[in-house]
Amino acid sequence: MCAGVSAMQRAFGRSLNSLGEILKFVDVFVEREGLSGKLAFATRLVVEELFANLVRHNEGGEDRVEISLDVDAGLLTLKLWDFSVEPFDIVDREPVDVGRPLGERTAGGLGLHFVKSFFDDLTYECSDGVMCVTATKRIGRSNV
Amino acid sequence: MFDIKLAADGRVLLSGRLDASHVKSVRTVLSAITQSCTLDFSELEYISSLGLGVLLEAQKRLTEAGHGLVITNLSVHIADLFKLAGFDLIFEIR
Repeated sequence: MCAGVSAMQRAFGRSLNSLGEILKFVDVFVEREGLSGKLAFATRLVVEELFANLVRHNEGGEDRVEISLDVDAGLLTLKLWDFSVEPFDIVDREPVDVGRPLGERTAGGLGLHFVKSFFDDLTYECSDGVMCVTATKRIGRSNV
Repeated sequence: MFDIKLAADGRVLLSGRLDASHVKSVRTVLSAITQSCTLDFSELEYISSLGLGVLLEAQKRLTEAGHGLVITNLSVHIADLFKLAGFDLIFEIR
């Protein structure tokens, strides 16, 4: 899998224990691109939420997930590739009702709720056992 | 780096980045709490949905027993996340 020439791309082990390393990878990217504090926080969060979803839902996949991060022409693009997996659309889920009282609340779906709230677009593709999840956000001068 | 510890005054202090890989240690600490308790977020830089889920579990359990968690010193970004999750409605935040 190959992202744009300016993208940062790397493979990580399929385990939540990779998250420390992944967040450091995102740190290097947000510093390189000079993203604002709010956007840097959102970028870390969206990468973690998507990665954690892949790890939890595609248990039979290869022991690696590739992540690429890019900003090109004002578009921030995060891509995650998962290999040797069965098709499972992690994007198409019931929205979370965050106004429900405590007794009726569950944590399920919050991660995707954050991804969809912080980023403009989220797409899923799966072909020949390779799943690709892409999140994009249009960023203005105030974000950088 | 993430850390969770109990202060001498009974507050629970969280620091660093609470990503999904640290949820187990947070669950262990919070499950031992049986009374109302303050979680101090002054050194907490980051939290994700699985971390929030553990807070929700603890709040449900404590509220059913007539207690609850108070969360203090949230950063601007974490406070935004709480609002987005509706957690500002189900936790006492100071």
